[in-house]
Amino acid sequence: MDKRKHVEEMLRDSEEEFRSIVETTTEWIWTIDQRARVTYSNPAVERILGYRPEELIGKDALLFMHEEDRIEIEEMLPKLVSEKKGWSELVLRWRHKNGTYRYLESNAVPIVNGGGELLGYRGADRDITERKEVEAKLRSSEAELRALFEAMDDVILVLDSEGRYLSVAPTKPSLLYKPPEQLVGKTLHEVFPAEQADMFLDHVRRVLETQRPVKIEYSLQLDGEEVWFAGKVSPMLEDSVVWVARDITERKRAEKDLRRSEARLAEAQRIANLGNFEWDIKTGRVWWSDETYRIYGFGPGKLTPTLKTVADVFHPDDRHLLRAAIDNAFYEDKPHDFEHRIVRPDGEVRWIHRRAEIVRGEGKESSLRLIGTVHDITERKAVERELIQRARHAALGEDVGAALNEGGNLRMVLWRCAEAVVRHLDAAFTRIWTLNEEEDVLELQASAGMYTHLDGPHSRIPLGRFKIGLIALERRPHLTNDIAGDLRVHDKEWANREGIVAFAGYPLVVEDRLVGVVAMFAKVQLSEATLGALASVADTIAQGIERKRAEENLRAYAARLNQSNRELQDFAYVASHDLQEPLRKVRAFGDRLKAKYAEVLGEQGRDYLERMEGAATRMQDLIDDLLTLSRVTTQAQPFTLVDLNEVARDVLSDLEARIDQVGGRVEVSGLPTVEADRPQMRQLLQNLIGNALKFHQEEEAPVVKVYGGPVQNRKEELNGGHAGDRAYQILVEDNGIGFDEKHLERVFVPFQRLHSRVAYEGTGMGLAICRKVVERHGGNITAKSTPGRGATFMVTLPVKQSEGNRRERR
Amino acid sequence: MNATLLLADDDPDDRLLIKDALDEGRLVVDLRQVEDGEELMDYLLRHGKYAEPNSSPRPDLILLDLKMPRKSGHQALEEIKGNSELRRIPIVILTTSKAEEDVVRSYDLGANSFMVKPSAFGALIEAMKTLERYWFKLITLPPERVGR
Repeated sequence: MDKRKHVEEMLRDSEEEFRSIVETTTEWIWTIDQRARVTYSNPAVERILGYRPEELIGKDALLFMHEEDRIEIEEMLPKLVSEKKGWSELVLRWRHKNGTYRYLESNAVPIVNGGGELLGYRGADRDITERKEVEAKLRSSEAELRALFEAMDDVILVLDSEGRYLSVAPTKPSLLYKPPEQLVGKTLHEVFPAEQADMFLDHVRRVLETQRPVKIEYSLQLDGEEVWFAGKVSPMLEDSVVWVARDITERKRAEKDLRRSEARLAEAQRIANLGNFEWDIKTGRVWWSDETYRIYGFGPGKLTPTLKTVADVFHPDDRHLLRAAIDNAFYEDKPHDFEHRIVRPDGEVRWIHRRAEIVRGEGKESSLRLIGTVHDITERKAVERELIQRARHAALGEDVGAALNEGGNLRMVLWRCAEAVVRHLDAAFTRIWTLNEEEDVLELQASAGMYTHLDGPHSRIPLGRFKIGLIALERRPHLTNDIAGDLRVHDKEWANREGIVAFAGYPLVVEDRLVGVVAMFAKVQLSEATLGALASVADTIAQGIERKRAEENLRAYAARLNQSNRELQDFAYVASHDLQEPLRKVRAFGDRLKAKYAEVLGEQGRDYLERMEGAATRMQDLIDDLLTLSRVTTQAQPFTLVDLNEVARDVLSDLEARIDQVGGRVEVSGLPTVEADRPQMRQLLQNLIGNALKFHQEEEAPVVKVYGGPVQNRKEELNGGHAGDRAYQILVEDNGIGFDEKHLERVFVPFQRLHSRVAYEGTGMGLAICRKVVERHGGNITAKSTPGRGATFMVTLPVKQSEGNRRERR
Repeated sequence: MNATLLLADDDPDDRLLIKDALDEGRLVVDLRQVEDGEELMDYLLRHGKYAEPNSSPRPDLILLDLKMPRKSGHQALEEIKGNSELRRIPIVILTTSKAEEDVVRSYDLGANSFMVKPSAFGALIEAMKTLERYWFKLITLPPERVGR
């Protein structure tokens, strides 16, 4: 009995213990029968589902489940029951008394009696609702995180101390060296080439050691292209690091481009000698580009520039410009743009072109900066100065040339030259003397500038006297920029008083002949270039004097020639007139003799008388013809446009009687209009046509054809004409007796006759006059003939007269 | 009373020819001759060798050559036409010169006509005949004296 009681007590104790465990556990302990009716439930159910155990006993447990889950269980349960299997970690949703659903994780074992029948299930459920919520939250935040990652361009890795990829964030896959699956679990050394892996691992180890983040930058070959990354490796846990890197290829390229364009800019600045600067007015900081340093004479970066540095480098005489410019910029926002000198530390003076403007920042910043450029224009300034000087010298040359080409007497011309020198070379005064060769004295012709009088001690300077005379005598220029110290200058007081410091005198020489002297005094030093200009102008003036002299000589000569011509003309006229007088008498008394004493004379006497009178008449004709010949020169008329057809008509009307008398015919056609002396043309045609009529064949009536046409100029055709001049040929063709061409030259010589005067009257002057006329016109006359078959006389005349020919006869 | 023709010409041959022409032309005139301008003035003013009364009858016509020594035809012409007593006397310039300036000057100085001496004798006779006819027959000469 006691043993049973003990066992019963022990059983009651352990039951008690078991019950207390069951009653107090937080898990819901339950049993259900085969039909899922709740047979037992511990008090935990109240806490979990809100129902007191008594509310559940006898109820179908499935009724308290979520619809969906119940359906699932109902499907599952029969199988489990038949197989007498339990379940574990089955998560089901149960409806709380308050209507919410809770997640319960269930474990159950089948209750099987001794006979192997399933009586029900016994299980324990744990409320995992919170855990589920957390899981859900986690999943959603995981999803969020994933989305975040996928949206990121960065590479995010977690590596351990051996460089093993612990995790790879699902960010932009193209940035990963290999797909995440191929990375996770591998070490850096298994992924990258040794060198690179070493470097990466080094970063990792350092971070782990120092437990401080490290900034990194590296490049990888991705898809055949080089991609640059920059990022940070930070300690995550004791044993791992998180590696975050960003694709900075674009930035790197931009950086490279920027560096390159910066380099180019610096290069451009260096080449152009142009630097830029920036002055932050608020902070007072001044920034200079490298070239700006060099321009100002400093090594780039060798000092920290300030406004004072700039002011100091400015030339003292130009500093006021800087002040004014900055004031303007400040107060009136005016940009400045001016040239100034600087004095470099080594003392060199340079010319700078400076431009700057004020830039105000926007918004709250309200920054105030002066930005600008400085350009070293020293060379350009020098060139400018040179160009200006050259321009002045060129202007001087032009003015002198113009003065010499203009009309006016020599003094006028030389005064203009002197005046030009004063104007363009900044002379105080300039004087020009010409040499009077007979007296060996220099005569002052022009004085321009301070002194313009021509009389005075310098108006006549003998060769060798004073510096001017010496220049002329020695034919060497004398130059001095220091009058005070010059031995040759005799009036130093005057020079001092007037502030004259420089003198330059040049001999005026043409072809080894001295024609004068030009000299200038100046109140400033004379530069090389100025002396050069004066020297070259001296040449021009010398030539001008020479030319003017020659012109004046020529004019005088022409006047004398004209005079001589006139005198000759008068003489010729008087001479012929006076020569004619006695002949007139001879004829007159011959006539008287014949009239009064015919019988006394007898036949022979009368014959003698006839011959005498004939001789006298011939003499008269000769004198007339000689006069005509001389008049071709002395009575030449100015050239006009002459229509030769008209002239021919006039001649024919004059010869009308003669033409009728010989029963002849003259045909005129196609004669040109030329520039000629009308009366002389008339003479020409009269002689030629007259001859053609005169020398007719005995039995044949004379037929004269006068015609013309243009001729190509060949040098032989014209006298003194120019190749390319237009010329005309006039032909007078007859059917007369002709002549032997071997006499061609004689035919045109005065007094030369080819036939006796018995056969044909005439003085033998006609063709000589023709030739003289034609030659005066710059033309040519010749003839073709066959004895017995007529002759053709050919006159070639230029259509236009040359200037020289025209002027001769004025 | 025959008309008095005063010929002033320095050339003796010309003087002779003119006299012959007058003769051949049977012209009845009282021909007087002087050799140059000086003698002409002496004749007209009755100076020098012409101081003798009746040695220089007043001419009805003067034939005046231009080119004469001592005093030229133009000089004499000027003097004559400037003399109130003498200027009425008609003067015909008879010269070998054809020069235009001689012609113009002659008329400017008051010559009545200008004639170029014909070269041929026959023409000279004709010229004399014409002169005689015109001056002594056709026209009316001024009276010798007015109111005396």
